[in-house]
Amino acid sequence: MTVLARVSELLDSQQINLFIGYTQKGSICPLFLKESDQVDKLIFNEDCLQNLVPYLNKHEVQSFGKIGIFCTFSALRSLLQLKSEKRFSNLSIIPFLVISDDEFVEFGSYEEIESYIEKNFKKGDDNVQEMIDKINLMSTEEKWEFWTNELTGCIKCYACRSACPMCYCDKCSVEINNPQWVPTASHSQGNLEWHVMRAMHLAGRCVNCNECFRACPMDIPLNLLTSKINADMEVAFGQIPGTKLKLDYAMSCYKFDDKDNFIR
Amino acid sequence: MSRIGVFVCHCGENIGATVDCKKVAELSAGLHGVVHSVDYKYMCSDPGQTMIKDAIKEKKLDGIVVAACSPRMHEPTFRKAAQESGLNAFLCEMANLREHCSWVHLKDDSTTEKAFELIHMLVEKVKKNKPLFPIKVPVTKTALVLGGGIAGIQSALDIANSGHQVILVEKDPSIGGHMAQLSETFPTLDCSQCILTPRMVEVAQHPNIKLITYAELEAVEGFVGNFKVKIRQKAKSVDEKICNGCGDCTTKCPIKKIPDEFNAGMGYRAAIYVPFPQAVPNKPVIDRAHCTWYLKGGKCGLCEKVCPTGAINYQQEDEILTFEVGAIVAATGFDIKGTDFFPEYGYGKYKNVINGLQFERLASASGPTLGEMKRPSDGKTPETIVFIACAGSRDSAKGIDYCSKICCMYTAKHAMLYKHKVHSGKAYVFYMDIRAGGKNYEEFVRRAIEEDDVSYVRGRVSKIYERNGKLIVKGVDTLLNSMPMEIEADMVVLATAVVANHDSEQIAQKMHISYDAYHFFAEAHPKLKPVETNTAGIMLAGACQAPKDIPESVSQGSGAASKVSCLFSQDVLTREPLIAEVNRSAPPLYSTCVGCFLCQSVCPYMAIETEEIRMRDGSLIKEVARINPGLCQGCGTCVALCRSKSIDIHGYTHQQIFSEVVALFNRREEYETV
Repeated sequence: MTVLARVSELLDSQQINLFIGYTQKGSICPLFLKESDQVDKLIFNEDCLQNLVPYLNKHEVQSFGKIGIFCTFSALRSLLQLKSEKRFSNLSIIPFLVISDDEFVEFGSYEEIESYIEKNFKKGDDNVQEMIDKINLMSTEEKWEFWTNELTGCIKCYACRSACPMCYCDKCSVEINNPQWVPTASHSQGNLEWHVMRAMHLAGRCVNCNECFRACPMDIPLNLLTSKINADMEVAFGQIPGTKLKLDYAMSCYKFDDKDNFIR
Repeated sequence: MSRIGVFVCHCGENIGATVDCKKVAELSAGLHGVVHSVDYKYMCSDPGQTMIKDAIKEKKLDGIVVAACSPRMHEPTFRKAAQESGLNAFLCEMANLREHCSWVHLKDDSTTEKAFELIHMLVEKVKKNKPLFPIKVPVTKTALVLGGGIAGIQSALDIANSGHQVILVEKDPSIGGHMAQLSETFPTLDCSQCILTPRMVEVAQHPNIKLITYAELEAVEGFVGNFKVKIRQKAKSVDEKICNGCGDCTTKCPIKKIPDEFNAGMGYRAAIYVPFPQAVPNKPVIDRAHCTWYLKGGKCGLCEKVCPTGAINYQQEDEILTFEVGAIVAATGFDIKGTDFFPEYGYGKYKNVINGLQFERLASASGPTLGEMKRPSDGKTPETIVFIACAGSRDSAKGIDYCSKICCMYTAKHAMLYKHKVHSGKAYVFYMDIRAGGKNYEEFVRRAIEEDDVSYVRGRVSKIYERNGKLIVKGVDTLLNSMPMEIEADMVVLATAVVANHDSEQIAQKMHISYDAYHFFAEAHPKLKPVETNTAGIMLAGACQAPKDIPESVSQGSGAASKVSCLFSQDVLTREPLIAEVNRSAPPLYSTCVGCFLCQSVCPYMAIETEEIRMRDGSLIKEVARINPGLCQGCGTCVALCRSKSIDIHGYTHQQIFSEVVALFNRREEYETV
């Protein structure tokens, strides 16, 4: 059975009320299917990179209750991480990992996702690692200059936040204005504070989907910040976000054998 | 419009000598919203408090800042003064001009400027303060005493005798602790077990004490007055209720060559054993790490066969017992370093180099030699014996900077006991200083030197090695021109350092109490709160806090018991309302919490619960966090972790902290204009 036939079947039998996939309208963009009649518009190829999971955080999408979704590997990780953070309690989700037209994995439970991720785990993008290695070699001043330059371009459109699967707060703390801790204006200080705060909020939660970078209209490599923090946390605590169904969040769980050599 | 009063205290010379208090008060008077600002020599004195009370009434103040010492010292004093004159106690804030300013800076204009800045921050904060009201919580009048050594026993007995229930938990099969191992005690040379065992029996018979031996602390939840503790009852493999303590099993057990912990490894015990004859309870346990039945899958079973009552139960499992208690006394005791800690003294490989506890067992009538002085290697009576004090203690190269306190006295005692048993023998003591502070302690040491002819040599021993069956002790006599000394000894006793138990760090973390760099438990204040910990409701007794001798451990045990009794004398406790709350912001009652519940795992007090927000048709909108005000201790960790800033802490709200920070940001302008 092809993946499209399976999606039709699920929609027709009302096992799902909505399917989120990709289509091509000039460029690749998401497609929301409520009926099976347009299923042939669905595509899947190596250009289908966008993580569609952030849509599952939207109240409008959640109102469909039963949803099928195309997932990349990192999207699967985001699904697992979100579940561990008690998301989707009244949502039934059928994720598909598509390999080719008639080769795909359909997941029946979060445990299946967990074991699939464990068996097929691959490290993130090599390009990202290359950039991180490059920045690691910089002096503190060079790093500061690099990030000041990059972040100056930020226009505070918050596309990074919208595209991120882990940014699901109803009210983002940048919008809490009594008091307003982080300036909303798009000046260099405000930009820096916003991105540092976002990186800290994603520490140990980012699933390396690189969606923030892909979404940024100013091409700021925000994924480097979170990927670097993640790499450090993996060394310190041996944790990789989005690989475990049971929440084991290094920033909030204390363990007897936690290293404390970073406290000086 | 705020009406704030500022009261600047000189604290005698403590603040006044470094900070220009008069100028600070004048500057503060110019701050926005401040309607009254004065300085005075001692604000905490009666006239000082009266000044505050009068000003609150006369100037109709709606918030005050007392700029004085640390709030840890006098916050209750000034809050009470505010309350008495009709101002809510939590509208009183303290700026710490002493510990945070005058004590740590030199007299200078910038010190005065900093003092003003501290006040400025607090003035801005107090404007955002809201009246708060104390929380009342009930008290469970049962105490948990952890550790059945002399400190724990004393504590348990005192609490029980004041009419409260006590649960005494001991990790070994019997209570008694280290004191039960000692032969005689200084400075009276009375038999340790003779004075201890009556107390042990009293514990066993006391109607208010529930004794749980062979058990360890698993977890502590809750807070003062309302702790919930989990105790792991390790499987004894013997049904205590049926066992009649006849001891047939221990004599028949074929595995007999297990180094005996009670005899500090100087003797042997069987795999099923009672640690010592006067043990309480006098019922055996099976050591599963050595028992054939467990090691070889059900073989042997001899103890089961000989047991006349059928009390042996190989299948028994560890059990988790849960208790609700109002207070906890930690009396988990200490350990001493083994001889293997000392490369220069043979790494523990010389049989005749032993530590103090091993000597106690050699000297004890209940020990492996029945009190006869026989050295471990060949059972001969040692004719020359060397005692080395400060083995490890006071030695930064060994990582133990502190004095172990008990060694000077017990070394004198050991030398005397030796001389009393071997009249012809020669005893040397190498020491750094003799620390014999204590009632009749100095006299005791003099007795060892003068009456019992013990040779005290002030100097260190650099090396010990074996030659022809003798131990060659190379040392130096610093009182004889640093003359090198070489003694051919038959036995050497190291007064090794007193150290914290190997698991004390974990126990402290389970109880949420702090500990020092050496893993001894930390008291709340080194002078004024030596018995309490920083966690309300948890007290300390004995050597788990620092090295202590018996009288000190007993005193502290009684001290801890009296603190517990004070706590239990009230039916209801009042707690400060400085606790966290998940906010409901405008528009009316909108919860910004998204229910990620990461706060739940970070909360050390298990205070975060789940609350459901539902539509009017009953369908679930979302689950959000809710903080149980009874459990929250106001540590603020959840506030720091919450990404959506949905948690605030009363008395330290985002708004209050923000106001303080902003005051500091804008300080320069203000300071110059005033």
